[in-house]
Order: sequence, then C-alpha cells, then structure tokens
Amino acid sequence: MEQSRGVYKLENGGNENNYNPMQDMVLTRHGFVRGKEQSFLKNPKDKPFIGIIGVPPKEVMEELIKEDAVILSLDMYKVDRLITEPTDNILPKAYCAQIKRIIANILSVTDFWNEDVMDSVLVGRNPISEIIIEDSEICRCNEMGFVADFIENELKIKLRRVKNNDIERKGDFICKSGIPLDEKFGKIAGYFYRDIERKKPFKPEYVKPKCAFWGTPPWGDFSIANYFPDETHIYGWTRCVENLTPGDLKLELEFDPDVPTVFFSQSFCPKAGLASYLANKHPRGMFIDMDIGLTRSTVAKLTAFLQLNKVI
Amino acid sequence: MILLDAGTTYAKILDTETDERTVKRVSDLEKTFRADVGTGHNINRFANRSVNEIIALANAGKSLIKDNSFTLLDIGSRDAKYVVFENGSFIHSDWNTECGAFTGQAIEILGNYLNIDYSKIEPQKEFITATCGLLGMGHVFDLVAAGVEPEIAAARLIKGVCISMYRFARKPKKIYLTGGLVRNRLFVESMPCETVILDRFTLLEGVKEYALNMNGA
Ligand code: SF4
Repeated sequence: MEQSRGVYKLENGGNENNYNPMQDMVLTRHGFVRGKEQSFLKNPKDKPFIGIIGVPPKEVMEELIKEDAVILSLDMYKVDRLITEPTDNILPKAYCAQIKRIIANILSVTDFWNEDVMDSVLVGRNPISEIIIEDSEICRCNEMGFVADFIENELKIKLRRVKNNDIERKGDFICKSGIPLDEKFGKIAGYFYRDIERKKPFKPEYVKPKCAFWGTPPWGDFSIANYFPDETHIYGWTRCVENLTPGDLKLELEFDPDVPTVFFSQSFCPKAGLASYLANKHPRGMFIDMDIGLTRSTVAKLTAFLQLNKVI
Repeated sequence: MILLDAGTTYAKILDTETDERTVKRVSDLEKTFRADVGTGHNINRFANRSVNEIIALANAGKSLIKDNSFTLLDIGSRDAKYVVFENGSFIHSDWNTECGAFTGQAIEILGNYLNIDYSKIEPQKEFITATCGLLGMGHVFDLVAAGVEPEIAAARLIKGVCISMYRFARKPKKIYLTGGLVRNRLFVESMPCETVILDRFTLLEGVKEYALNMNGA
C-alpha cells in the first residue's frame, strides 16, 4: 500500500487510482471504483447486487462475501456530487442531506439502465436485488426507520434490517493520523471493506493533533475538510465507523479537551443536539452545522476559530 | 488609510489620517467608494482587502478592553457574534447568521411600524422567546392582537432577544457590547448581566490592528 495526497494504490490488482472522495467513485468490496469503471453496475449478471446503508455487522458482510455479491455503499456512492433533485417530491427541502443522498443514490442506480428514474423504480424494476440497512438502536439516527419503510413499501425493494452490536473496537489509526482530512473520511469508509476482506489493517502513523473534528462525515460538502490542517484528529461517529462499532455511544461521546475541536453536524440531523452539547462542555469547542454546500458565513466562522486558536 | 465596516444596514468609516468617523446607510455609499481595508457583510463590494469579522472583533477586544478576561458581543441588524478571552488567550467564538438572525433589523422595523420610542419604555420581566427576528415580530403582533400594549409587547421581545444573546454568549457575568443595537437603551437595560458599552466603531479598531500588522509584515 502506498499513499500520498491524492494518490491511492489499491492492493488487489495493484492498479493506481487517483483517490479523492470528491471524485465520481463507487465504493465496492473491490475497493474504490472510479466513474468510467462502473460498468460492473450495468451487468450484475447472476450475482446478487446488494445495496448497503450504514455499517452492517461483520457476520452479514461475511455472508455477502461468501455469496460473491456485488456490494454498493448507498452512503458513499456518488459522494462527489450531491444530486438531490430526484428526492424533491419525496422529501422536505429542510432535511438531512445524507438521507437525501441515500434515497437519490437508490433512485439513480437505475440510470445505468437508461430508464426514467422514478418510473423504473416505482414499478419495481430497480436492479438492486436487496438493500441491507443497519438500523441499530443507537447509531446514526432514527430516520433510518423512515428510510427502511420507504425502500420497502414505496420502492418495493427487498429489505433486510440488521443491527450492529459489535463492540470490539478495531482502533482509530486513520482518525489520529496526519493524512489530509478529506482523505481520512474516504479511507475510513474503505477500511470497513478492508476488514471484511481480511486485508492487513491500514495503520498510518500517529500525528500530534493541532485540532480535532467531531461528528459524522460532512456529507453535504466534503470541501469543508480543506480548511483543516492535516494534523486534525477525528472524533464522534466517524471514529466509531473506523472502529467498526457504529453503535458505540460511549466512544462517540469522547473528545480531547486539550485540543481545539469543531463539533460538526449536518443541518437537520438529530446529532446536532449532541454536537452543540459537547461543544459547550469542551473548553475550546465550537459547534457548526452545514446543509448542502458550504456557506460564506460557515467558512468565516470556521477559519476565525482555527486562526484565533493558532491552528492555521 | 480609509477603513470600513460595511454591515447589512449601516457603513462605519474611519479615516486613520484625520481620525474622522462617519456613519452612512450602506445604500448611500457611492458605487465608486473603495476603502483600503474593511470588514462586514457587504465588504467585498466596497474594499480592496477584507478581514474576517470575528478576527476583527477579537482584535478590537484585545486592543480596547483593559481586562485580560472578557466576553465581547457584537449585535448588528443581521447577525450576532462574540469572542471570549481568558487570561489574554482566545477561548470561544460563535456567529449566528441563519437561525436567530435579523433580530436587530426586526427590532428597528417593529419600532418604526408600531411608532414606538424604545428609550421611553421600561424593561420587562416577561419575555418572548423567538428563534429569529421574523418569528419574533409574529409573536409581538399576536400579543398586540390579544390586547397587550404595543410598547409592552415589543419590550418583551427585546427581553427575549437579550436572554437568548446572553445564553448564546455563554452566560458571562459581565458583557462588553457593541453593534447597532447598543444604541437602544431598552435593549441594553434588558440584558440579564452587567454590561459595558463600546461604540459602533469597535470593529474598525480591529480592522486597524489588522491593517497595521499587514503593513508591518
Ligand atoms: S447526518 Fe444525521 S440525520 Fe443524516 S443520516 Fe447521518 S445521522 Fe442521520
């Protein structure tokens, strides 16, 4: 494995791919697949084509590997572009950008069959054979219940609801490393696949933090990561994902009081309450939320915080 | 050097050579006007260089306030922002721009609309909690329709704004206030903690610090 900013070598096959979470890419169990290489989506043939949402438990993923399933992360698919128009008539405007993305991703997979998105989905011709949704008691948010109901009853796609009660923490090497923050987000998602394929864990070196980011990945606009230095540690739910324990509330609540920390949540996310609560408890914390796309005032607020704390 | 603080409604101008200070409506600034350095919501239209508003506020606080530990809150027509310093070091800041915004403008519009002289109204104990200026105005009109005197209804809104600003600034014992709303006596007297008023040119003091460092660099 070799990595530097913007370059990511996949171990399986040794292909060199420009890795950047903003790119048009699909995350599969084969690693990150770039836009032009998505042809496998066109022809899943006889293989089960499984969409996943969240972090299903290990045994579920192992079963999919055994079946040689094609796995598509509906959280990460088309992570470079947040296209929410297909959800306009389905979801309210003021709503979590990530759930909009998940629903839009399910709808847009049908684009590969060149059919009208809504029609093909609503008549049940979505190519996805099954969607597995991780809907643990404590994990992301209660909205997963709605997403599950919508997939099953409106989109008529076979659905399996699974709980992830894994508590064995795998470590947080990526969160505490010095790789650029946007790459950290991408690699943490990739780590999940590495683990199920039993690849050597990716353990970048520890770096002393200048500041920290707490929260879910900034689904609405990953470019926010560019304002942080590489020496940014990650806490909160994203850290739980690297540990493969998405329901580990105790871990989610942790922060480092000695490091200036930005407590982030998507706008309209129930985690905003937790983020602002922790920001108030932290001696040098600041809460920010963001909907789709960074606003000028969010950037100003963030850069002032980082400058005044002598982080940048 | 000409320094400018171009807020949503008012522009504050400082000529550092003559120390002349002027206040104008932003809409009255000539299209060709260019300051050397500035800050504020509208700054990119009127200055060659701009400073982040929170940085300007922090610089201003450090240069104008003698205490080593302080909370400085700036309440303009569109937004509110604060910085907290402890023992000379920056601790916290925040800026509310979306939810909770436009309270300053709403209070001004409401005063004009209901023909109220805020300087003649006593602070109220009861208060209206409103997320933003627009929702706050709605509550005031509801109270007036229910028979409450317009002055009392408006004063309750102002009390509500003060309480939410006090909480927003992390409930300090003493608060240094600047921005358009500090000229409203009722607003200042409705704050639930000790207040010290800084004039509306405060941000320009921070811009000046920035400009001096910039030239020295
Ligand atoms: S950002 Fe928040 S509301 Fe949206 S999916 Fe994640 S946890 Fe749920």
